[in-house]
Amino acid sequence: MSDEMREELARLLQAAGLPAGDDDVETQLQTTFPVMRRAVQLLHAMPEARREVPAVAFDADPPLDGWHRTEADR
Amino acid sequence: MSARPRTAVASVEAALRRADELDPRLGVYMTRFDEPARRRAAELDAETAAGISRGPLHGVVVAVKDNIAVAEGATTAQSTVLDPAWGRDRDAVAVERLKAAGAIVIGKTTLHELAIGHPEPPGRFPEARNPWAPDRYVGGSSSGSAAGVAADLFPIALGTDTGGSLRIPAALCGVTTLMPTYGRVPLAGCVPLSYSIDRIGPIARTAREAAATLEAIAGPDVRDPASADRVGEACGDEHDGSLEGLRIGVERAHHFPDGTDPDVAPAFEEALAVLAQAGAELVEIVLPHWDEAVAAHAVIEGAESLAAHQPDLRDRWHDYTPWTRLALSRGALVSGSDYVQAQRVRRVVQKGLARLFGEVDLVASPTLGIAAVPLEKLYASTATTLSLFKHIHTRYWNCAGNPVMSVPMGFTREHLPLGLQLAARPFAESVVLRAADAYQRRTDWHEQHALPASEGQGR
Repeated sequence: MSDEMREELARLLQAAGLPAGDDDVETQLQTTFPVMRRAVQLLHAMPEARREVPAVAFDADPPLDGWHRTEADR
Repeated sequence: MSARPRTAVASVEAALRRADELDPRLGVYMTRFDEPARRRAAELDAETAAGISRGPLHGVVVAVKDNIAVAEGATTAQSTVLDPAWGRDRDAVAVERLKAAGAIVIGKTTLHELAIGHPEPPGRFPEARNPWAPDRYVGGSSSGSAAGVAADLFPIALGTDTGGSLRIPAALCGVTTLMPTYGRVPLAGCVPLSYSIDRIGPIARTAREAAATLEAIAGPDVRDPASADRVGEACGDEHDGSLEGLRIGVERAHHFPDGTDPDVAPAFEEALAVLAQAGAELVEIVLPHWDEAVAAHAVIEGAESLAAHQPDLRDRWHDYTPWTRLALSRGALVSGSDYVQAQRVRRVVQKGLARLFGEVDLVASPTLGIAAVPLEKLYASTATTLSLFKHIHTRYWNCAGNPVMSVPMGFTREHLPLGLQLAARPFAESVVLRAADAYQRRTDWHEQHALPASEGQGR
């Protein structure tokens, strides 16, 4: 993990009020943080989700033709 | 239901003797309710004598994962942080319903800390051992529930699943589980981990027992606004064991990464042959948006579980074990908009699956790409655990919300259990249970017992 990324990690943990120590970073967070960054990038790069409605309430039968139709729906 | 001792009292006494004999080395029970169970058994036997039957669970001994409230004892969730007053003297909705159906709650089972922790050497709490190989991982987080069924300490248990916590231990212990559709079973009375993902479900030896348990605990409740109003939909319809007319999608693309145990593929092919022999049509499919679904699960679970624990993490950081506090901290690494984006991606995944389930009735895959690994490896380094995540094929379905079963699929050459995962469209529990039952009518993997019967014990 780069110094820049390490600093960002420390900033995020501090902002959340989490008293993670160096041991916590060494044992796991330095592995987890890049994984979470990649996950987030993947989510924001998904074109089908660009105008999708969040699934904050579970819908067993999501309407396939939403008000915003995506390329995948056509 | 399989054959059991004739009376509820006899069932309870047999279960208690078995626990006395085996639990000191299995670590299945967090708490036992010996006397309340005896009293309840006597009441139920009196009902039976009066010609009253509450149904298939009447007089059946069950255990409950210790993150689900049971009035007879405290709930710890295997945590020293959880307020000891949480859920005191109250039953979770699912437990209320089990009791009303005549089940006898005999105790609470061990888990991984707060349903997200890492296996740890016994010390703070008892830790469940895999009855097939006590030096191997039992799976989690519903560890005690799965190990207890596998060791015949009780025939049925409740567990929870947020990333595989029912299916992983069920697969590694060679027993059957059903993670119901999100909302099918109310979560009220369950220690929350991830509000929009958590599910309660049964672990049992057979699909029929899982169906009977689900029938008892399913249905809406005002105390859980996310519980679904699907009253009147049977979960485990009677059927003849035929799968004629069912199309099963076979998923290989995301289930055989490098390092998969070489015994998994032959066992999976054999399982598919059994399903085909039962009349199912098999078609090759690829699950849509796999990587995105797994990523969305990580972000949603991370954010929601941090929200559940943030005040305690700030004040009592060192009262959590290192793995747990760092797993919960993942939520601090994403933003609010990341969370919403993950929920948008989740909808895309659900739509993709809605299309897929227009073509097939079920999706079949291995539950895991590995069997139980040696515990010493996991104790030695959390990096080992992280490296195994690619072989855990459960999280996709936690993101999606569909009902999913894991049923025993045979053994490795080291005689360690493997699991077959079957998923259906939302609220089609009856379809997945039908397939699992048909499979179990033609196989005997679910009838293999990890430990010999105790003297005088009925099976």
